[in-house]
Amino acid sequence: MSGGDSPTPVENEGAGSTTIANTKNISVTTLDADNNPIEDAQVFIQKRYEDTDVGHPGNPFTSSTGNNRTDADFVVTQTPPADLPASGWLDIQDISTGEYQTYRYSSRSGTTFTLPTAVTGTDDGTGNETTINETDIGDGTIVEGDTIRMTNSPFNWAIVLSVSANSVTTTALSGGDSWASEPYGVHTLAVDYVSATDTATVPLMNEETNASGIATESYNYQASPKNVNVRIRKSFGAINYLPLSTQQQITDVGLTLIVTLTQDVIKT
Amino acid sequence: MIAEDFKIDFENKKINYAQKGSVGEYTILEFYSYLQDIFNEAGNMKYDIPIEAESKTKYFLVNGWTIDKKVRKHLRGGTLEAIDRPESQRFTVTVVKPDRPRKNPLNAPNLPMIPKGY
Repeated sequence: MSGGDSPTPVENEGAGSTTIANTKNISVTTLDADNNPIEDAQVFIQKRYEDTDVGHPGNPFTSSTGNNRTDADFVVTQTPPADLPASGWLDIQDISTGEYQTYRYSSRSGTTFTLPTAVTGTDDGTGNETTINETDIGDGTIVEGDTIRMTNSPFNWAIVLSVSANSVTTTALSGGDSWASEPYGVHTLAVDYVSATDTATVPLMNEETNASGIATESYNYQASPKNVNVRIRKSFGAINYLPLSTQQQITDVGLTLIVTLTQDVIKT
Repeated sequence: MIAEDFKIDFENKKINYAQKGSVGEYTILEFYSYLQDIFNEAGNMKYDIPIEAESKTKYFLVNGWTIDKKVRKHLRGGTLEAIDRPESQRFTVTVVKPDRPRKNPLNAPNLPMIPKGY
């Protein structure tokens, strides 16, 4: 593991004012023991539990009023810290059930996180409680981790586990239901959230490494270094690796992390 | 199916046996592999991993994770220890039932009957 880069702050000139966009880069590179890049490793970065910022597991946002099923955005009560990603993941807990729904957001403004353009469709009749089959469902608008909901009664939901050209695999559909012939929707809220009770967190990164073994994210650096937990896992496919967890610090030069994962020779 | 037999309580860091009655048995290796798959999912990256392997027959529950007694009854083929916690909360599940039950483990020949009184 090593070092950091040093991008120059960018000046954005607006009408009568100048904003210093102190954008840094978070970069995580995953390699195997032979220094070959590891593709599709999941990289997750979150602020430490004791951080005083709001919006992480030690101090989550609470839901504002009016966050209801079918909504295209999620509004929090507290003002989000400026260093959260411009687009990323929302992890919302329905306290009444203890269950989490994860959504991607494509932009955020003030206390509002806006989800991507909604996607809808219907299973072709051959699905089951964990599978949706539909031609071209895997066109790129649904990814692993998205919450996917049944758009008609009883409005059950699940989390996407994998996506292929004509099929999506999910966690077991809530209520023990089946996706067969059911309509689905993605990028809209799956349940009604309770104001001031249900909670939400936003990781600084939750993405897979590319073919070069690299996952990157912009980071809007604030006044002081930020301590974070970094988790890297790849436990699927032909070669599996042992999970890796490390504590790191994002400084005024960003964070560049290079890790070597150890092959898991036990997992089958 | 292993995914249906074990229910993961992420919030309380506990793995429960979800089926009523005695249904399936799994090797601890299968249990380990299943858990690694689950915790690799994007939505589960926020959770600490529950299990580590020292060998194909020796595993450790870690990060405060535990399993209920029913889970222990449905595992075989190794040991599963929980030692990364206060002594009062430690346990060792010695599920050393062999991977495949052996009817005649010593491969011993049938012995002649011993008369009563000896």
